[in-house]
Amino acid sequence: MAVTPAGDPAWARTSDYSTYGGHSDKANYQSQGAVNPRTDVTAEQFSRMVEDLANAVRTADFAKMRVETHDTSPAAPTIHWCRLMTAVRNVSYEGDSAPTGFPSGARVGTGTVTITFASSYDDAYGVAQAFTPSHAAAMPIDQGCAYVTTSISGNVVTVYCYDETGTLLDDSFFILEVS
Amino acid sequence: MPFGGLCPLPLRLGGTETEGWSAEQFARFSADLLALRRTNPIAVITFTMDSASPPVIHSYYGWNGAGVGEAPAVTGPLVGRADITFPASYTDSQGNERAISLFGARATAHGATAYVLECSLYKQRIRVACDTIGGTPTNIKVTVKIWATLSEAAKLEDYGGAPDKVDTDAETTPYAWSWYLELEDMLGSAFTKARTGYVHAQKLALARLFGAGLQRANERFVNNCVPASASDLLPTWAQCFNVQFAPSTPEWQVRRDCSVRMKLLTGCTVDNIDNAIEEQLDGNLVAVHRNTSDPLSSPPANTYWPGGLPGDPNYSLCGYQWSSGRAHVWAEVTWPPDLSQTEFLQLTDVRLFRLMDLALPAHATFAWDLDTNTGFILDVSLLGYETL
Repeated sequence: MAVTPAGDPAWARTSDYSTYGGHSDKANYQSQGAVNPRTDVTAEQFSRMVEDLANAVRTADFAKMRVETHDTSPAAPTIHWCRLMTAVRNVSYEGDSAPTGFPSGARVGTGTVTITFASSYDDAYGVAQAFTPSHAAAMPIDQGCAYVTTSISGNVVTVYCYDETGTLLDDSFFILEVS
Repeated sequence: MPFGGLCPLPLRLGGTETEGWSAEQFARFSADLLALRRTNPIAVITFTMDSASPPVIHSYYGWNGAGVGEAPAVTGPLVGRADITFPASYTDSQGNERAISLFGARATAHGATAYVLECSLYKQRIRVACDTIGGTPTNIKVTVKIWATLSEAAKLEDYGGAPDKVDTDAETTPYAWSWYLELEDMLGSAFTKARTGYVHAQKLALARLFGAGLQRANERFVNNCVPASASDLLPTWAQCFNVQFAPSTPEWQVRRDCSVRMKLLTGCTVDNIDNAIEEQLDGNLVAVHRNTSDPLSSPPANTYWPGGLPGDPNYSLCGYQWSSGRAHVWAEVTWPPDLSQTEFLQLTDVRLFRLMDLALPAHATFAWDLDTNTGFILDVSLLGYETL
């Protein structure tokens, strides 16, 4: 019978050290240290592991992707690569034909695209967890794109790309980080 | 090995795929966790700037916790400016104070208008500045990602990671389980074999006591008798062998230094010295060189004596030059790409130097050199007439 992991998948941001087996009173049996330091992991080391893992998971991005907008010949944005907590894709895809499990993209207007996430994702053990973006950070990359702003509405992240004068820009590149 | 009643902490690496955790799996886990800790932001916060009243925090994910209540103080001293102030430290779940040293932040504006955003660091404070393209400060909604170092640089040893980690070959079956079965057989058929109830509880208590008190304690004693597997007595071994180490030196490094010196206990023979150097360099040794095969008819370089090879009179002693490379030992080493210059020089100029200084007789000279295929490396290779 397959095991069901404790707690919620990472993007729920609810895991703490206890989810991974930590406890504030965790101790080596009868307070004895390592029997053999080459083969053992002590309570102190284990506690540091679970604490750091919980911390790192809380702030990790759920998604990171490189996106190219298409305005000269209007089309859905191209996602050059996409790294999710649930999957990694290094081969580019068009936003309007997203592979299963990856966010889709659509063109709204000049320099403006939306990236739409599913309302729920499964972790590596098949545990489903709802996902709603809370933070969306973006960086412009090259092609004259000077500024990028974002907005979140439900599971849709809208990204705006501007030139140096603050005018929405055609055919831009940016990196989007969502958590 | 499983945690819990029959195999309590410390966790023993090894066992089966379904019930255990191998040294290799543990090593991958700890290395990946370290990678995350090094690169992850310490906090992600989204808030709306407000210079008249406290800015509204919409969401916060941080190393100290998730939720608006866990967020650091955010204030709006001026229009288009926000200060995020972190405490000097926070207390983690284990009760440890972890100092926060901020070193980076990046802000992204929300909305459908372009803004110029800048993040400036002032010790524990991050000033987020937002201006329109025309340069007018404006309050907007922003997401800020913040990177910091906590207390000290993350390292593998925090999690018990070490390059010499292996599966246990001693407790391949939990000691307590073996004792439990033994006790069950001893009690005979008059007693229940149910895994609940008073008899079970008594067997379990005794089995845990025997497993930890007899076998684990004994194994621990044996392991501490040699430096290669010592933990509790490692500082004593280091003192015995005069191994110097800093508080930040990983335990496995001290074990190795002591273990290397242990090889010399049976005498500083050529074989023992070579073996010790090989272990100290951990796979980065090409060869140990000596001038033992050169006959006097064709002596090694820099060998001069009166009557044979008189040498340069400028270096004379009583009118003659006396020098010999006969007692010179040098280790030819490689520089692995995953070792930084600091780590490499720590290995060669400190650890190897101390070992050779200890192992070789007073009349011998010694050195190390990069293997001949390495080429010239700035700050490491010797710069001589030949190189020029």
